[in-house]
Amino acid sequence: MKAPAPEMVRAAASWHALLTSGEATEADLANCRAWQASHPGHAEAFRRLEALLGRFEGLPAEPARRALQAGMAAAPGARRRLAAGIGLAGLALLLGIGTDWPWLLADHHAEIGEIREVTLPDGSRLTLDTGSAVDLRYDDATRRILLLRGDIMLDVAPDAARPLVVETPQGSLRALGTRFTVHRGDGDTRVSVQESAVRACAAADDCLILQPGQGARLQGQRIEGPFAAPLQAEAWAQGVLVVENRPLAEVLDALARYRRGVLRYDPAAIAHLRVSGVLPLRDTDKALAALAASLPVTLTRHTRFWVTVGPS
Amino acid sequence: MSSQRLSVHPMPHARARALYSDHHGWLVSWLRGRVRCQDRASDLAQDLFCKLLERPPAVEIERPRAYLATSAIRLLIDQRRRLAVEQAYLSALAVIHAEDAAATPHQVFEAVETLTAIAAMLDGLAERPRRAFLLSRLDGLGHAEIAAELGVSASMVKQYVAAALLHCYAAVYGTA
Repeated sequence: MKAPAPEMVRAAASWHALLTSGEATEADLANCRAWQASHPGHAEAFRRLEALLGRFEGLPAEPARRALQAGMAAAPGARRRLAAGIGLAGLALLLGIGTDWPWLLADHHAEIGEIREVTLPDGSRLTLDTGSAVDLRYDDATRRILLLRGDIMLDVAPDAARPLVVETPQGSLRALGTRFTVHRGDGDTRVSVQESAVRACAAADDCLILQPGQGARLQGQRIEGPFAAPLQAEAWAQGVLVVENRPLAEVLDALARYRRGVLRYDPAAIAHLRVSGVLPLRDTDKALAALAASLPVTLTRHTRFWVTVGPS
Repeated sequence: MSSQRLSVHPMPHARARALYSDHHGWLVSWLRGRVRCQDRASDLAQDLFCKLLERPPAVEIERPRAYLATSAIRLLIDQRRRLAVEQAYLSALAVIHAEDAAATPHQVFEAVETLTAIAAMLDGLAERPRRAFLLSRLDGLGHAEIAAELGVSASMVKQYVAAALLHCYAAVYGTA
């Protein structure tokens, strides 16, 4: 079949839009059939678009919408840019701006389930939590670390001439000493200080100096704190999840961040169960087995990537 | 039979093999600079050459390394997109069907395949036509309901839906 002419495809798109509008009449339908019958190109254009529409059949609306959003956000504009023949470095750069593209472009990243330590060019030690990514912008005057996503811990090598600053969309965190952690969440940034101090700024004139054991939250040009830094803010870097009397669902959500695929549970059925303990994050199968051994729950494995936790 | 087929179309496979033998080492090291993991770089290169053998380039490749690098980025984008689709879909399903096993792993696999292809097809479509189109296709809403949701006229919704269809057509069949 020869490809239909462009004006035929446009007309066919218009027919499909009308017929799926919920307002088409019997007469519209008859007219559309007559249009299709009047030229083989019309029929072919109509059939091709019908096949495209057919791809959407049977998909659950909300999960499909979320999946498409995630899929489009993962590589926005990729096809057009590839087609336009923009150079590879340019493509990589364009893809990297404001997108979730850690393993292709970030200077350092950790895969899902990985807790990774790297030594930076200045000798500072950077630990990346599961799925986290950073870019480095080091020059003669500053050491800037752009936190693209996730959680990092920094053991900063002293260099009085070149301050080290972690940046997120919500503000900047300047190391005044050695060790601190930063979490970039959905629209907020949390910082916790383990040693020495950090100057945290949400905007130029909204800053806090945080001492060891203190944390703060940056959101929408504002900084909140200081408050007591949560234990887990540094425990992940040791590869453990520390919980004290927390709901099982919360613990499962935390473990799920370290796993590919699905960790499923019925919130109502496990709502009464609470957990205290230290669980390994580098081997979440072991963590799940430990939960199953100490709580009245059973694990069902459908595949390696699909585990259900239910009451036993 | 296979020797017969090779004698009928000898060139494309020979091209794919030549690409492999001349540039496999270079491609792995080029990828390693981007994915920062030896195993992953090797896997990607392997996947890429498998695809090339399945669908060998029909014409002589003038700049083989640029061709391989572009193909590799395309593959990385596809994989990245699939992973994002899969994770978002599975977690959305998990929320909705927490109480029962509503979808089999096979059904999920099929849906992820389809959604990955759709996400690639919708790539580059403006936000409003896309929203209108998805409300129509996924939720089965009529144009009057979509118009109310988006705060535009029903005739504008019809234009959005037609524009989305043309966008998808161009993505699948080339420019309409």
